[in-house]
Amino acid sequence: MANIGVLIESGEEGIKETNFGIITAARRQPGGVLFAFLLTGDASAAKAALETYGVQKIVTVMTAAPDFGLRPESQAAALAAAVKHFEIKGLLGLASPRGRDTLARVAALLDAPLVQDCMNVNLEDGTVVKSHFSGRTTATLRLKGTPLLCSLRPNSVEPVPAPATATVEKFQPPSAGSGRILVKEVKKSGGGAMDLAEANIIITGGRAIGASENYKMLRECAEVLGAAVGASRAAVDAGYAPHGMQVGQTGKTVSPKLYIACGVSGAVQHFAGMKTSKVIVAINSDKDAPIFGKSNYGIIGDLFEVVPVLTDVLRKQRQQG
Amino acid sequence: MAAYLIIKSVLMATAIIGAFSLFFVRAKRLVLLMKNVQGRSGVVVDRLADRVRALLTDVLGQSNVRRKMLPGLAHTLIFFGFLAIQPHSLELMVRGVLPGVHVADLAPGFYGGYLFIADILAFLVLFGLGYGLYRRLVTRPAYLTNGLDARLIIAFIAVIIVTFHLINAFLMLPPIGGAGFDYGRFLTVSKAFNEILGLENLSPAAGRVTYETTYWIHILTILGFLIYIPGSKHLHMLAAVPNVFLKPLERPKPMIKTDLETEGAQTYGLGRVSDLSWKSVLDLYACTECGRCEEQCPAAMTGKPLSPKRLIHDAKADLLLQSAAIIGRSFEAVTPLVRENSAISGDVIWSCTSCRACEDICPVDIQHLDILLESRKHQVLMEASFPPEMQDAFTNLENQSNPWGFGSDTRGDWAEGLEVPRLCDRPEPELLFYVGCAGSFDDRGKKISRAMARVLKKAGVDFAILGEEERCNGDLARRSGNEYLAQMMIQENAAVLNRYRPKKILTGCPHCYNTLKNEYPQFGIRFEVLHSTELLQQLFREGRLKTRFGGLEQIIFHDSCYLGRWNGLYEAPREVLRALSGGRALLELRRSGDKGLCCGAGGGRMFMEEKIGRRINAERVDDILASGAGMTAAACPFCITMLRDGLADRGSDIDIMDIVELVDRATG
Amino acid sequence: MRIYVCVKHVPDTAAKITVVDGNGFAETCKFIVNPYDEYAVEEAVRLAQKTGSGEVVIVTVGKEAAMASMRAALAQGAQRGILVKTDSQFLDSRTTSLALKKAIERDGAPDLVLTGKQSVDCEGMQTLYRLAQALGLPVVSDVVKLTLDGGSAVVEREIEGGSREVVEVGLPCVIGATRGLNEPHYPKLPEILQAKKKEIKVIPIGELDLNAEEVCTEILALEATPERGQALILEGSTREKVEQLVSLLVEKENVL
Repeated sequence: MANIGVLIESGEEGIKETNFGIITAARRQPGGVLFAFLLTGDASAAKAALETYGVQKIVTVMTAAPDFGLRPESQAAALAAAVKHFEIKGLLGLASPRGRDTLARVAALLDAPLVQDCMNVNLEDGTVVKSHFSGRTTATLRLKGTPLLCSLRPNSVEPVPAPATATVEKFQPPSAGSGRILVKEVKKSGGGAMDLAEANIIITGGRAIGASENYKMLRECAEVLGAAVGASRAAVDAGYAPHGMQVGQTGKTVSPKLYIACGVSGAVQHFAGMKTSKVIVAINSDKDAPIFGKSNYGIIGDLFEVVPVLTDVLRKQRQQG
Repeated sequence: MAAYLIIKSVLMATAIIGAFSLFFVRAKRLVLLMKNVQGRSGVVVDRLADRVRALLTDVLGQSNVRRKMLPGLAHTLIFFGFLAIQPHSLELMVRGVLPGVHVADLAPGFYGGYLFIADILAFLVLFGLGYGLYRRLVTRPAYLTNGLDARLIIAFIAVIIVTFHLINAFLMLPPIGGAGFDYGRFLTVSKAFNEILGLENLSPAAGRVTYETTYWIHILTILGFLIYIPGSKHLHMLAAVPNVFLKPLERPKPMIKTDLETEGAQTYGLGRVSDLSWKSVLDLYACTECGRCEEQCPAAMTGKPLSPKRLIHDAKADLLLQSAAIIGRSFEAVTPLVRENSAISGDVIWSCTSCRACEDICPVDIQHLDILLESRKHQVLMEASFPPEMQDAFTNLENQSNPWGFGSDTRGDWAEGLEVPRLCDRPEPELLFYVGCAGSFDDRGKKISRAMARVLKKAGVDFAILGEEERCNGDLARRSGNEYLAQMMIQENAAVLNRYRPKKILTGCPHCYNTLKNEYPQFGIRFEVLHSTELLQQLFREGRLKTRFGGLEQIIFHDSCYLGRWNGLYEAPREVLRALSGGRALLELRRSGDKGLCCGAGGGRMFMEEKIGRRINAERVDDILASGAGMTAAACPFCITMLRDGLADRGSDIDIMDIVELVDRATG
Repeated sequence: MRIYVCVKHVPDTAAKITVVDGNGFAETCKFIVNPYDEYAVEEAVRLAQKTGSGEVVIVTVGKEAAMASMRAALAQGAQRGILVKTDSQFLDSRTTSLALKKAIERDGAPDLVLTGKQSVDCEGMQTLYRLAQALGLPVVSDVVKLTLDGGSAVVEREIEGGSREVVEVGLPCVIGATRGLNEPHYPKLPEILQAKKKEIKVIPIGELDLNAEEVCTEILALEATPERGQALILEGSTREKVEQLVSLLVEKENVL
């Protein structure tokens, strides 16, 4: 009957949707109370959504310090105190840059076991599944000790609604000094594009895109899909896309449920960055492109012909459905 | 008169001694430079008889020079004429000091015969010079250096020749030439000079004065020319002969092996001119600035800053500029060859595709690559300065033994489904098929490897591959200047090969072929290596392969630099293609054989970005499109990639295939 | 200024991983310096060069074979190394961080500790946090820019969507480097040869008195990720193919 906690992360528009999968993973542990911890103050706004997925206690964790949100050490210390206070036996979070950072700090403070970027977690026997060797193997690890900490890869667990009623409270541990780390500012990247690493659907343009303007066609399709747009290394090297869009061994590793690769040959280096996608669709004019040997579905054709048709079909479908 | 003769004698002696001394001082400086440079050469002075034969054909016979017909002919005329008059001029000088000396007195018949020949040959020089002037004033090809040096030399020689004829013309007059020898009997051209100028009509005094003036002009011009030679491109007259004597007698030539073992080496490769080898210095001296190398160079013809001629010229200029420091052995004071404001920039040395067209066409056998590739070594090993895109290639070569970084464990995957035995399972086959990186990992290359495997089976050849155990042969690392990585890779590959000791090694890639055959022996590893076209030629001759399907039409063959110019393999691929065309004669590209244009991939350029000027492969595709051929054949995976891309860029539907693939198709 | 850089000896990301004994792997594949640690080494070397009197010390926990990676780091410009020698390639992050802490403290007082944000083998993404905690130092990871300014460091770290946080952290501290911090330079040959002679002190891990039984994670099983098979190539006109695809994605795969 262990209490399990989920560290909830917020973005520009409130709490992120990717939190829900984490909550579902946490819910699998029968019995105990399911806590949601927020380090920022929008608990009431998120209440309804969190309840849908089964959260029973929503706790805002903050100290009185006015710059609490800018001090990662304070946040971690406060969260660690909350974990102790609420007797949390397992703490889960998003394997996002912030989530990984916070959980690692908490694990270090509590000298507790932590595995990052998991694809699945079994709280009962304390085991997790994650990638080892950059996706070439899947490792099953056991965590020994309590509490047990785990960050999950976004979209790795399908969110399943499990409605519950939640109480909302505040936990305010005493501030233990201001710490030695202060966030001075956040520099936003231009364009506000959806983050690749957290996207559920990704459509990528490879070298065949031919020019940076041609990504517009992919962006139109992405909009209808609700997808993020990626690029292969060849496209980035050729100057068609910025490095931030690169998927692959030397770019971002992604794990969406749907990955559409347009004009991407499927070379090993790119593939390493998206091989854990649930479904891979390849669109390429070369019938011998290696990607057809590694995807679920393939269309042999010119991407400049196929993608607009795809956009059109999806639009029509959206209108109907 | 007698007084004049005494003065003349003294002046002449002074002039001769002075000029020759000055000449020797200048020449000595050049020799000292050669002695004091620090680099090591690959020169082996062996097979003396063959070398002497080379001197006879190349120098006396001017065979190399005449590969370019008209300029070659012009040079032959100048060469023989100029040589022919030397004994005459020498006699004149001696007589200037010792008035009584006349060879005509000792051997009139011989002298007469000599004079007859010399007179005609000398006149022919003027035609040669005329053609030289015509090229410099009228046609003005871009690759031909057209400066003061060349014109001065033409002027010098013209004066010497004309005064030669004039002197002879005057010698026909008894008051000047004496009555003992009948000059007029043996002179033809000079006799015409005599008659046209009406020298008979001059008063004895006028005649004597004019003669003496002409005489002094002649001698002083020769002596002036002598002093001028060491500082001009005419130094080639002295340096070309030893350079031809020392030339590599065989076409295949390994790169210089850098000593990486000896501890405490201060530098590697060619960083400063003092790092040149004595042989490279001799190469610099031998350059005539004819520009034929520049004319053939794929980089120069497509707008890159590299011109082999200018490289030689700039290196020589740098060497002479820093001669004091070098002879004084204060090497740290010598500035680097490739530097900020030097004429030899990074782009110059990295633009080279190592096609060897320059070395091949050079009439005085300059080894340009010995200088350029040694520069690359220095840039990589000592400066870590190279095109940034190579860093990944180097790292991938080191970690996974291929430039793209594919897992080395997948090296044998191309053979899936073909039931190709691995050497570890079958250690004593007739042949080891060494596939190479392109053949193992490049999509197009893999198709060629598969075709090769099928053809070998059809021919009943007992072969095996190394599969995962195969390592890159090191060519890319070596041509890109990374000698340390290359030697490491060669040792690795050698260890594997030495374990199996294959009877014969077959390879489809000319780069693998060249390195395994010609460079591995530097490391004590020697195997019999065959290129696929050599093997196919053998198999066809032995009747082990028979074409089943119709003859191929209109195929044209693109020579690979590493097969042709590097290894002399021009005929084997053509014989195979003729076998496939039902014996029909092949079309030839307008630049083929020795003059074949590189595809642009060699010298590591396949892995570097081509940002300057026009693409070399586009230039080559011009030749293919102009040929009217429907299909191009090649024998190198890199040539195929470059040309296929080039043809695609032009929207052409001309197909390009490897000869192995064509054989596979034709043999069903 | 003394900078410690923690470097791990890991299998090349291009190498094949052959699972052995259910939870181990064949260590005969090609090993390299953990790529993220390379950025750390490069940054440390540049900082040391800038201050003129800097010393960069490589600290590695690993088997004897790890020395190869240490030599590579030394060729990049570090002055010397410390190897905490272990018997196994896998060590959990708590043990590793304690070993690193003890090795560093035995050696001297760090002005800065740099390392990669994660290793490419176990991808733990936490050793540097535990190390910082053990050393009593603040830690910032995912760093793409580092500037030292008197008693503190100003860093930029990557957060989602390509955005960056500008963070001020007191010195000494622990920094986790990631791609974008710098471009590691290719070492010159004299540097590679010299590196073979630089000092590497070897400390058997037993000597450090860590509590080896208190391992916090263990690997139960390792499985090669199955390769996806050949794609189902759709046929028909472009529109037909696309419509077929969309209906498959919606109905069969449930991803749309």
